[in-house]
Amino acid sequence: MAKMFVISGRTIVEGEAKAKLFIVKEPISFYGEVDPNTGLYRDGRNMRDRIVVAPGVRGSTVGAYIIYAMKKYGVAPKALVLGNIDPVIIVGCVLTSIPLITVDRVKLNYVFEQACDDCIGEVRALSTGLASIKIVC
Amino acid sequence: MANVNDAYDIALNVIERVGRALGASGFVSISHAHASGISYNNIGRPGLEFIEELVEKGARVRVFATFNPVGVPLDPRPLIDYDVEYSEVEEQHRIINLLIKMGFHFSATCIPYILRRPKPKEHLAWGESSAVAIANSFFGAYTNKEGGPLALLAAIAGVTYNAGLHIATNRKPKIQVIVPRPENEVDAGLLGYLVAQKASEIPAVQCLGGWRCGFTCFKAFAAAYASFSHNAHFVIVGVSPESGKVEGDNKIVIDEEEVEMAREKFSDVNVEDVDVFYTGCPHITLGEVFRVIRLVERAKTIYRKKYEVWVGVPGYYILRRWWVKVRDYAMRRGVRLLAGTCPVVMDVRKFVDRVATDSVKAAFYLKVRHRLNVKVSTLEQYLGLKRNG
Repeated sequence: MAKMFVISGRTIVEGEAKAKLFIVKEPISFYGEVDPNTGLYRDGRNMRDRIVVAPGVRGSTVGAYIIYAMKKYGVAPKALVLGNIDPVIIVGCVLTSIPLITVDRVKLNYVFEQACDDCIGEVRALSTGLASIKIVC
Repeated sequence: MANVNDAYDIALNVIERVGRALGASGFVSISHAHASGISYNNIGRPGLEFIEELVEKGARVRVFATFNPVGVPLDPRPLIDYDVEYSEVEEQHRIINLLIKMGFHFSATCIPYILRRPKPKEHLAWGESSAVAIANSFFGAYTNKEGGPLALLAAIAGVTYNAGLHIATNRKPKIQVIVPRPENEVDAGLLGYLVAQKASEIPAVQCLGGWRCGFTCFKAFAAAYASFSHNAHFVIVGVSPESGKVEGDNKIVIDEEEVEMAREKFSDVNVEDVDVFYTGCPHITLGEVFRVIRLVERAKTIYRKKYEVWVGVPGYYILRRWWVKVRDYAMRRGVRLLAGTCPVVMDVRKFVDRVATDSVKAAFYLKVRHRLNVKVSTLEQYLGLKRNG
């Protein structure tokens, strides 16, 4: 039977997206770990047109340029759902209008337990600051 | 036809949205923007295209603007006998040209405060972490560490978002750190590293016996601190213009033993075995360059040995009338001036394997980014000279 659950969060960059998930259980450094030409993550999976769910981001300020490049080459993710954010990822998402929401760590762990890459996510990040992600597996 | 307001609107819009996400209360006017993240081997084609697009949309800077060192020496002559092919020189030059077209000053340096000295409480948008720490902590100016393209956009908009270190109450030190007195710039750098590791909040650094080490040590402390801390501000009691008063009794003591342990971390090789000594992270100025040359000359007359010293200097020096003379004068004495770059952003593995440096920041990045063997030491130690002797 399909399971469905909704997680609430905070809007950082508004927008809506519906796509399969791309789950990473450790912080992502876009600079060095993601190929801006193809969208390939270092473990061989591709984040193109997916909703990336990860505990956070880390690393160089160049990360913003990598996200910008992915968008240019048409391999960017559809949305980002993160635990921790930094100004670098905000600049990257603002420049490219990729929806970005933050959720707290407990809820994120629940997603890691319950969901996999085949689940479909639906992100709604409203300009009021309220955001949610509906996950159907 | 592009109109000036297109790029301006984009810049303002991005800054506004980043600010909103960070809970900023509107904008604050800045008087100097300093852009980092302009080295082609870091930002690649997408970064170049991003800057190109802004220029096509009529981007012009509204305030005094400077940019950081780039990935290749702006004058390749001093390293000519290394016979290395530089890749991507053309792209790097294109980025510089685009910045200059926007109205940036030809600077290519990580010490923008020598081109324009920040005033106390003045708002800036700077990107280079060591310069940000010095602007805040030595000059008492207000700036956050602006990531990636934001400082560039702030130059175009003439404003940045009003949050973080732009707000006076966020700048108060929360923890007191007692440190031993640094003898030289290497000790100061090691202290910067230790303070950053141990203090998660803005520290007020109290130096036992007073900070009698001058600006060179302050700069070394700031560069190391900023490389390891997420804070871009600290107070050194008696040197920084801001008050080092800490509420409560949150206190850490760092002793000399810890400094020695930290030194061990950056000592992969003996100073006698290194290929090259690097100084100039952050960049040094002309007066300091002559001091380096004098020391190398003195060691040469005493020991009759060959030395290999590299020095990072501001890129705009190559436009000065004296540049060629000074460059060649230094080169004849085994001192190579790297203009507008530094081994941290260069593809340095092509050249060397073991490096000694007086900069803890450089030692750290050369170790982790380029996987070199490093040794922190002063120039005098490398040359086998006594200080002031």
